[in-house]
Amino acid sequence: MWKTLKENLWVNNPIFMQILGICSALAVTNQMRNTAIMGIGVTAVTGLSSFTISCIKDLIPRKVRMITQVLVIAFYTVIVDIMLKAYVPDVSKELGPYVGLIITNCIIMGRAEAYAQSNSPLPALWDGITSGFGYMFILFVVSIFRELLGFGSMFGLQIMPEGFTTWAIMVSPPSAFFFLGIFIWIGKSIQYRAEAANAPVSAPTPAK
Amino acid sequence: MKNSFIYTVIFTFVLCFLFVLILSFTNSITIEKIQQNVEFEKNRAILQTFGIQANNLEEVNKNFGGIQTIEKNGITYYVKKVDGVTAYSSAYQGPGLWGIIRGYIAMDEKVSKVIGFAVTDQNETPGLGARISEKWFIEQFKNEAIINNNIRVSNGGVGDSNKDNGTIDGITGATRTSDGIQVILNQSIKQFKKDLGR
Repeated sequence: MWKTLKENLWVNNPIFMQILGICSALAVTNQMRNTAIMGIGVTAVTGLSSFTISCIKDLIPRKVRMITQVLVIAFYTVIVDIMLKAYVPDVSKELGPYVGLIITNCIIMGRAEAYAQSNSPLPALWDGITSGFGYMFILFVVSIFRELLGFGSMFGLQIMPEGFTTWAIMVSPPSAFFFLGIFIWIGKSIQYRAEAANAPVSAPTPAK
Repeated sequence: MKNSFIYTVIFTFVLCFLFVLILSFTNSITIEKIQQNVEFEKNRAILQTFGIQANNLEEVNKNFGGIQTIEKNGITYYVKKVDGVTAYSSAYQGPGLWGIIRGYIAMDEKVSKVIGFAVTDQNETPGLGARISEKWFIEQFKNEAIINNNIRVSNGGVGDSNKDNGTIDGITGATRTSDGIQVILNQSIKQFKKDLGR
């Protein structure tokens, strides 16, 4: 269980290792509140879809495998959308079209294909939830920088002093590209170094 | 058996049926709440154009009592006296960058100034065009003079506080959205003038 958590949060993080789910990472991260809600939404949908698909995996004919997966993912996404609209309409307005776009998030389909199709329901649920956490973790860090530098606030509360000039580029998607690139670079560097340190000592070269 | 044609068809049908059934159920138990939310947003926007801040259902209902409704050429106008002037508020809609921008706009009966502006629906870029819903942008419209039958949306700034120049600041980096707002303003002013007989 802990292994799955560590895998999906770091070693095989969906965003900077598997490079999945980038689209919404660029769009919603300019404000921390939207990122948090989006992260929770994606985690819920990924977990529940993986769980459901795992439950019915033995019944699904091969020809309609992907169609069934999309159906399940869309189902949960629409439920999330309806719940947001009914109970927190302000947030729903802020997130707007991005809630519907959860359906297209590659992470969810990726986990369904890679894990839920061939594992039992409860592990699949956990795998889905931890993948969602991996996604949320990266988005959160990016959004801290983007909101702080682009708006001067965190979760809407003004943090930067009055005279601070906001960095307009932080508000636009390109800034998320830069941060993601930096993240991928740092993340992979740390992991490669760890791998190299663990690699067996190479055989000594023969004396000339 | 699992991969036979018949099974595939039946399976897909049953699965779709089940999921859609659950979705319809969820929809029907929340539809009333969602309608209420929409109605609340609409009334809150209308009050906002009259300069009244109403933050919950009670305040909205209390303040909405004093508002009359009239129909002109098929368009509903909400009428209220604001600061001694009779103000008319009606719905607008116009294309933005990604979708349609909808809201309410109020003007005085001489159509000489905009009393207030509110946005209820928009799908513009978060952090850019979507900033039309922010306070600083909306505040510019309050009591802004209408000059030569229009209000000019300038190139982008931090909020024009001069009420007599008939100009408001657009949003930097959101040209198409700002242009969309310009079109909405022009058309609303034209419509108001026609309907109020000016």
